[in-house]
This record gives sequence, structure tokens and C-alpha cells, in this order.
Amino acid sequence: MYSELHCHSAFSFLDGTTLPERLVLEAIDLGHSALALTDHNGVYGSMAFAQAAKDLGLQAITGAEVTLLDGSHVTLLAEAPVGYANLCRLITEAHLGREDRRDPRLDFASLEARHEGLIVLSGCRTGLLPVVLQREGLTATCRFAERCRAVFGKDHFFVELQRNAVQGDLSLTRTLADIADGVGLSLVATGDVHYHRREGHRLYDALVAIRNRTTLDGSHGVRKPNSEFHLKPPAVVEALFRDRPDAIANTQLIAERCRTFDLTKDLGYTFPNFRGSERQTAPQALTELCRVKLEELYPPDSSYRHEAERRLEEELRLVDHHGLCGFFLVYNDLFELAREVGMDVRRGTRRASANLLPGRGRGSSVSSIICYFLGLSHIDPVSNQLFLGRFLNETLASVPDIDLDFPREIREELIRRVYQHYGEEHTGLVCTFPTYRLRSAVRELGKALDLPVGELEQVAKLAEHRSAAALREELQKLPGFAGKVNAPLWRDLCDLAAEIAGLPRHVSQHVGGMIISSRPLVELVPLERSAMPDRVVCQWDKDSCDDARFIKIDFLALGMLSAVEECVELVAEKEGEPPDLSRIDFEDAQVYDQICAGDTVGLFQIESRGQIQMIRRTRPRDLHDLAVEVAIVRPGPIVGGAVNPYVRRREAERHARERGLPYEPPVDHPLLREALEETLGVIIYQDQVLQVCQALAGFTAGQAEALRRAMSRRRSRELMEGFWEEFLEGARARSVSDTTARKVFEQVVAFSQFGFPKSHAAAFGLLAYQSAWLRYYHPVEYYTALFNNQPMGFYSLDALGRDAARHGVDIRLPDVNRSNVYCTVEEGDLRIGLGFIRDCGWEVAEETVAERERNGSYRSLGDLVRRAPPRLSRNAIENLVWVGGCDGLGLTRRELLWQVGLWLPPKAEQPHPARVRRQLELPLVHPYEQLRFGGVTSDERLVAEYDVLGFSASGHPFSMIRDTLPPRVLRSDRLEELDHEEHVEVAGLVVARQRPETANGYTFILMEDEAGMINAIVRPDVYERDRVAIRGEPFLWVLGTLAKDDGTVNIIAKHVRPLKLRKSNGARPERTARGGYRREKLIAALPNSSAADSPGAGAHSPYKFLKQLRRNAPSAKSWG
Amino acid sequence: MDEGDGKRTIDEIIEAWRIDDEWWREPIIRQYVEVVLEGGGHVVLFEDLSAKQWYLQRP
Repeated sequence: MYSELHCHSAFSFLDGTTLPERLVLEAIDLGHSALALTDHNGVYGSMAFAQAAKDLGLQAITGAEVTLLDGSHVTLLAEAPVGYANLCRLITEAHLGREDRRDPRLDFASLEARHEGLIVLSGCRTGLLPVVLQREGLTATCRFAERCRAVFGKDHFFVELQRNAVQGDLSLTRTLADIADGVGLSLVATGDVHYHRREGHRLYDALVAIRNRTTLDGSHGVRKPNSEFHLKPPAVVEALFRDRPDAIANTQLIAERCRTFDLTKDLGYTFPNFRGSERQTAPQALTELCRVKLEELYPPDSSYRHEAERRLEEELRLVDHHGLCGFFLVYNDLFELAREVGMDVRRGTRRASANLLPGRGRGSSVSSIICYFLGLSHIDPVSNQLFLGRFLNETLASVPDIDLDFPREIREELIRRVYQHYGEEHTGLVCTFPTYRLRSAVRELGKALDLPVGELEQVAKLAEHRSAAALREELQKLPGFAGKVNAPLWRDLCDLAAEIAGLPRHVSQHVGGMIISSRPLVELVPLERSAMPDRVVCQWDKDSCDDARFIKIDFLALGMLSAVEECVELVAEKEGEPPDLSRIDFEDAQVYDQICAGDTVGLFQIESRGQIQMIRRTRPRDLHDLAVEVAIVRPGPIVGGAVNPYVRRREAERHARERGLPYEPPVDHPLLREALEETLGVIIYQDQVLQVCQALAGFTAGQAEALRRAMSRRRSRELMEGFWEEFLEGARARSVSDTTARKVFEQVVAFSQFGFPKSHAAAFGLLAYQSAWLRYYHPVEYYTALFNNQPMGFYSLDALGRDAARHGVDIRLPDVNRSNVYCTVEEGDLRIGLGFIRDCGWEVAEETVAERERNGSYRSLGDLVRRAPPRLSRNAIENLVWVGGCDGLGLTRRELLWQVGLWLPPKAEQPHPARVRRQLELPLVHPYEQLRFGGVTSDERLVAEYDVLGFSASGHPFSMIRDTLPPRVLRSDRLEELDHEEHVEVAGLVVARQRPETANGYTFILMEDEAGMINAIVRPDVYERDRVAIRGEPFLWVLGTLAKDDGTVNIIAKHVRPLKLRKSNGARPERTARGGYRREKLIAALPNSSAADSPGAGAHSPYKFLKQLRRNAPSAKSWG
Repeated sequence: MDEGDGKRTIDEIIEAWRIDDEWWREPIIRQYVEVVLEGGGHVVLFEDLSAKQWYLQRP
């Protein structure tokens, strides 16, 4: 019977349309017993394919179609483990040996040298033999076939025949068959599958157009001519080759031979040995290490000593039971390496003595006392009562995850050191596969269909961020597009988007996952270069690595840790010594007062709009409360319905305490009391999911472990739903009603969405507090560090800058003679660095500052042009001038801009810019240098700041247009004075838009005016009606009713419109005879400005100002 | 084979192939056959698979 040995999945990236798991299903439906996956230059989907095939009883053959140097293809199948190892090495060579990482190619000589255990097929229509036949003719092809036979052997090289109803197939396959017969080689039939069903050819054609960056019309020459490249029933292919039954029989023969290798069990991965393994066994070494730390951290008089000893004993037993002692010791080695890196990076800095850890644990590993002892966690698991079972338990089915956060700088260096320490062949980063979502699908497929780019952009901008499968539904809701869903091409776009949804687009780098292997990793999975220089990724994502039982080490870069490092350094500069963040007062009432007031913008993890609202009601007063705060605004607790009950109970608890009464939170069943006591009867942490299943349904450790794994996988909801029967059965056995069981199970399944283990929340809660403490006591240092470590968090620099101002930190604009490259603290203010200027760049800023430090301040604009690096472009200098960077040179900005033009003519007029600069070595005095101009107006300055820096340091735009806003628009600080349900009109610059999937269609808009933030909540019907404004406008006007509840103030929006200014208003900006506005009126309203600041400058109307700002306003952050 | 008002017998089918194209505009779905006619002469025929109509390909 025929077996398909040449099949591409979507992991051939734009040359296949079907996910491996779907191919397995189709193969089984069609009656295949074996199927080979042969993606281009990779085995990206092979593990998922092998796992799916194993589950469903199909034989998975692992292979790849490799591109040779001349562009021809060869199909390689792994017959034996050594063949698979060779396949991985060959693919790696094809990727790493090339300058262009996107064009992997293999030298045929390498294949000749390393083919043991591989079965080589001669390839498709652009395969080895057809290419020689086409280029060099029959005789040369025969000679080449003989060479292949001599090199690979008759049993390991097959001449591949493909018949896909392409004109010329018959004669080509007959010629190839004749050649094979002539030189004594065997034939094999293959299908060159690129999609699982015939209908898939449309998407395939579109992918080919996308791959070739053209349209469907423009890709005639490169598209396949028909729809015959789908997986066919064996009988159909057998009929196609009835003249060569041997070609069919050989497919079966090869499939049988490939049974020797099973990717799911024959990999032979082992973790490296720990340092000192030759002297001690792993259990001895680990016990010894932990005992020493036990004495240090829990001395005999510690109240936690007994519990710590018990936990250590239990953990050591579990770790030994699972054979993981060596694993922990290797982590210990890695953390030692991190300590060395930390010391090296901080050497010579003031923070070197700050007792800063090189990194911090996150995730469930923080609950382990062994991790605490090895330094992999910084949270005491005993005093914090952290539950171990999520991390380590009796029936652990896979190696536990230990995630570590590092400041960016340390992480970069640590990754390099790990490569050096374990060897390049033994180390690789885990990859990820970004998939097609609605926006990418619309843009790419739309271009292939040659739809108008402007309309595609409009759809991409206005549509929700969601699955591409929902495009049709989205279009129906978009103004101007509803009628197009059935129009030609748009209809195709909708159909294709539904098909492309979820398909991988390209290979990317996982945020931090790294694999190290005792056996060369390059024999277990191919490696390839990442887009980042010097980075090598393996071809499997985290799920495939997990299936391969690889141990993934997560080194994550956490921006806030970098900011904290820098802040500590700045504080040390100010005070002479750095603060020790492990010894600050963790119960500082003033810090908590600020947090409880919702003043948390710029703080780690508790700054979002949702968090601020939550925090005002829950009022955290210690680290435990902060851990809850960090964990609660997550999809798991939200979907599980935990949030509102928690908030209400927290309020009830507080009121009871104020009255001196006890408070006992309700629980769905008494059996849950212990597990949910600390979170007031609701599930907030992932660990509680397991505890609840154990308490209510009597889950064994094994069941809990299976549930834990299901929780963290793709399609976790389906997998978790699969536990319902056993949950119900267990609950019934404990006399729990079916209704209660279902209610609780719904909360359990909600954690198929993202949630935090308590240990992770505790670790992040601690960092949240430390960030709050730093901001409270050292605001200017904190904001400076925050500015220098963007992007991170919820807010734009614009919003962060104004928050800094609210905390008394003045922001000074860049100054060519005062600014450094990055932001600095200057006389208690924050000075913006030169690197923040558009078109300047960090390196050029560095050179500009270095020149100033070498040879003194820049004395004039001509001096700057002469001495600054030639790479400091005219645009960059103009930008610098526009934001006041050269104000200190004694001229107005317009005069300075005039001089830029004198010294540096526009690019089009200067064929050799470097020569222009060199000519300035002469101390020229330009004849027009002395011309005088007025300054720029305040509104021009503000627009320039947005344009050049992306944020404004001179105040909020509304401070300039308040007088021209619609008459009833209220300032945000007035809202507190009004009553619940009052009708209000507000307006603001949009800071963030959120439309979380968990919010049932509600949208949250965070706006800012000159007095503060405004929260608007938009109902689904209002959203649909006003979507264009909500998604696209930077300045909004909102009409709605006030919703006030225990410290939170929201506006329930009834209408959301683009902001429009009033035409006139009595004494406020008056029209001049020419129709403009008197600028004196406008300028007078500006902070720190007067009309005299800018003599001679033209008046600008508020309309023009708003129009310019609409173009330059910082993009609102869009979440969900 | 019916050519005009006369019938011709096909001696041999040389090759058959298929075209699927322009599905985003006016779909072209054709099954082509190159045949040798009785008494000599090659012709290419195709069936429009959408309309279920046979045609003779003009040279």
C-alpha cells in the first residue's frame, strides 16, 4: 500500500497550509498507515506531528526537504536514531553556515559526508536529478545518479517520482524512471503534499504570493498550476502509478524501515552533569548544600526552623525520588554563573555593594525551599506558606520549570556565558512561532488579493485584536465594510483569513527559554540563527521541547529589575551608599497609603487601569495583600468570577475589623475552607486550583499533576474540561452536590486561562513594593531609571512624564551641553538624554557627548556642526533645536534653525555630507548668519516635543485648548465632587484602550487631561456604534454618567466622539479679521509662557494645534 | 471525439493534466488531455470542469 513520504505542513512557512496535527487526522481518515513530514529545512512541526500520530495510531516518519547550494531540493528521511542526529546536524549546517539566515542551503558534499541512517529521496520537480536533467541533460543526470548510488548506496537513495497532473509530469517521471532503471536505482512515488485537502489550494496560492511579495495576479510564474498537491487516498496514488507498481511498493518498504526510529522516545536527551559530580553523588551534594543554608537561614532558635526542616526533608525526598538532584545542582551552577556575571556587570558601580541579587525567581519554583537555599528564589517559602505541589509532587510527569528574572544587561551576558560554559553545540534558545491573527492576516492576504492598501489598513486598525477566523464578523461591524463581506475579493479575504488563523508565520525567539544538553543539542534538534545577532534558537517551541523531555531553563529579562538596578545606582550617587532593598521597611504605612490611593502609575504590576481601580477598594497593607493584588487582575480569576466576591469580602472584612467583629468569608463548600481561606473563599492562585480539586474531589497527586500540565498547555481549556467526569465522581464520593461540583469546576477550568501561582505573585508583589518604596523616597531617581528602561509597563513616556510631574519631578528637555546619552538626575530634576531625540540614536548621542567631554561645551551651532559626529544628521540637529536642545547657545530656536540650514543644506543639495562637515573645519562666518528671527510659540514647542521625543515635557495639550473645549466638558479633578449617576462630559488624550476577552465586549478607555486620568467604560452597543472614534482617535470627547463606588470613579459612556473644539466663546480666543485666532489669548493660557516669549511668531489657531497634535500624539497603548 | 459534424477516434492519450487558476476572479478549472487521433495528428482537448463542457484547444 502507498505511504506518503513527501508532505509539507504549515511549518514549511508560506509553503504549506496545514498544521501537523491536522495532517495526521486527514491521513487517518484517508486510510494511510504512515506519513512522513518533510518540511523545508526544518523539523519545526515534527514533535507535534509525532505526538499526534502516536496518539492516533499513525506511523510518523521524521524527515525534511533540504535545499542545496544550487537551489535544488533533496528529501531526507530518518531511518534510525543516527540518521535523525545527522538530519539535525545537516539542517543546522544549512542554517548556520549561511550569511543570510533566511536562505538556508546545504552543501551536497556535507550530505555525502553525513548520511548514515538517512534515506535520501531525489526530490521534487526541483529535486537533485530533475535540476541536473534540466541544466545538463540526460547523460550528466545518469552520471550524477551513478554518483548518488555510489555515495549513498542503492538501498539508501531512491529516485522520487511525483505525478500531480502537472503538464510534463508524465514525461519527466518516465525519464527519471529510465535513468533509475539504467543505473540500478529504485523508484519511489511521492505526492509533494502542501495542503491536506483540495480546497486548501486557494490559501496555498495566496501564501505563495505572500512569500514572493506579490499579488495572486503577479505570481502566475511561481504558483503551482493546479489543486492536485493535497493528501490523497492511497488507492488514488496507486492508480496514478499503475505503470510503476515498484514505486508504490517502495513507499511501504521505506516506511517499514523508518519504524526503527521513533521521535517520541529515541532522542536520548540528558541534562549536563553538575560541577563536582566526580567527587560526590548528586543527592549527597544537594543535601549538603541545603543543610548549610538551613543553618544560616533558619537557625535553631527560628520559629520556622521545625517547619523548614520538615519541608527540606520532604523536598529532598521528592527530588531524589524523581532523580532530579543533579537538575537542581546544575541550576545551582547556573546561578553561580549568574552571580559571577552580576559581579562583573556591576563592578566599579556604586550599586556593587547594594546586596542586589543577580536575578530573582518567578513562577512556581519560588515555593521550593531548595530553590530558596540555592538562591533560585528570594521568597521565604515557610513564612509565606507557599504550596509546593504546583512545582514538585509525588507523580511529577515532567521536569519542573524554574524561571529566573534578570536585569536585561545581566541576562544578555549570562546567555553568552552559558554558551561558553556548556559549548555552542550543547546550548540553544527555545523558539516560538508567532501565528497569523486578524491584523496580519488582513494585511498579508489583502495585499495578495490586491485589495486597496488604505482600506486594509483601516480594517487592521479598527478591527479587534482577535482570531483571523473572526474577520467576516468583524467586517460586518465596521462602518463602510459591512457591505463588502460578500463582494468579490473581500469574500475571499474572509474565507482565507478563517483558514490562515493560527498558522505559524515565522520562527521567533522565546522570551527566555534555553536548553542545555549533555549530548550535543545539535543532534537532537536543528539549530538556526535568531533575528538577534549572536543568538541561536532550536527549531522547537516550548511544547515540543516539553514533549521531548528537554529541560528548559527560563532566563527572562525583566525591565523593572533593570530600572531598579539603575535607580539604586542613582540613589547611591546621591547619598553615597545604595539602599539595601532586602532590608527596607516592608510595612511602611506611607508607601501603602500611596498605593491604596491608587497612585501607582509606573509601579511594577500594580499600575494598570484595572489594578488602580481594584487597589482603591481592596487597600493592600502588606506583602500578602500585594501578592493577591498582583494575581487577581488576570484572566483565570476574572473568568472564574473571583474578582467581585473578593473585593466585596475584602470590604466586609475591613468593615468588620473596624467594628471589632470577626469575619469569616463564605465558601462554596466547607471542604474548600482551608484551601481558600487566605483568599477569602475564592480561587486566585493556580496552586489553589490543585488544592481545590484535592479537597473537593479527592484528586490524587497523579491527577493533580495531570491537571497541572493540562493547565499550562495549548488548548488548555479542552484538556481541563476532560477532567470533569473524574472531578464529579470524586465530588459525589464526598457528598458534594452536582450543582456545587459544577460551580467549583467552572472556577477550576477558568484557570485554563492565564493565572499566577502564589509563589510567583509573592515574588512579583515584593518587587511591586520595592518599586513603590523607591518611588516614594527617591522619585526623581525612580522616574529617571523608568525613562531609561522603556518600553515596559502600561503607560507611554508621555503619561509617565506627567505622573512624574505630579510627584514633584520636573522634566528638563534635552540640552546639547547638559544632557547625557540617557536621562540623568540634574539638580533634583530629570534631564532628558540626547538619545531620546528622533533621528539621533544612542550611538550618535554617545559620540556627541564624548566629543563634548573631550573638548568642552559646544559654543555655537556652527561649532556643534563642526565637532559633532557627521552621523548626527541635519534632521537630528533640527530636532534637537526644536525641543530646545540648543537654547543655551543664546539664539532663538528659529535663528538656530536658520543656521542649521546655512551650515547643512538639505540632503538633496549635498551630495557629500561628510565633505560639507569637513569644510566647516574652517571658522566660517556665514554672510547670513547674523539674521534675527523670533522664537517658536508655545504650541509649536509642544507639538515639536511630541514629534521629536514622543512625549511632552511642557505640560498637557489640554492646558492650551481648555478654553476652546466644548462648554460643558469637565476637568478630571471635578469628577470627585459630583454625585453618582450624574451626567458628565469629559475629554482627554487617550492613554490606553483595553478590550479584554474576559470583559464580555466591554471596552475601557483611559484618558488624561491636564488634571489627571479619566476612566471611561464603554458598553458593547456603544462601542459598536462609536468604534471608529474609539479605536482610531487620539483625543476623545465622552458623554456619559458617573459611576462612583468606594473610591473608584468611572464614566459609563453613552457617546464617544472625536474631540472637536468650539468655534468661539465670548472672551475666549477671538477670531481676528482674517479668521484666525488672536494668539495672545491662546498663549496667555499656556503654562510658563507669555506672548513676549516669541515675538514675531505667527498666531496658531487651536484647530490647527489640535490637528497637528492628532498627527503627533503618542499612540495609545492598546490591550486586547 | 466530436469535432464539428464529424466524429474522430482517439488512438492514444499522451498525457492528462489539470489547471486550477484565477479562483479569485473567474475560476478556471480545466482538465486537459493531449491525444493522438486515429490516422495521426495531435490535439489538446480540455473539459471545463465548472461548466462540464469539452473544448478543443486551438493551436
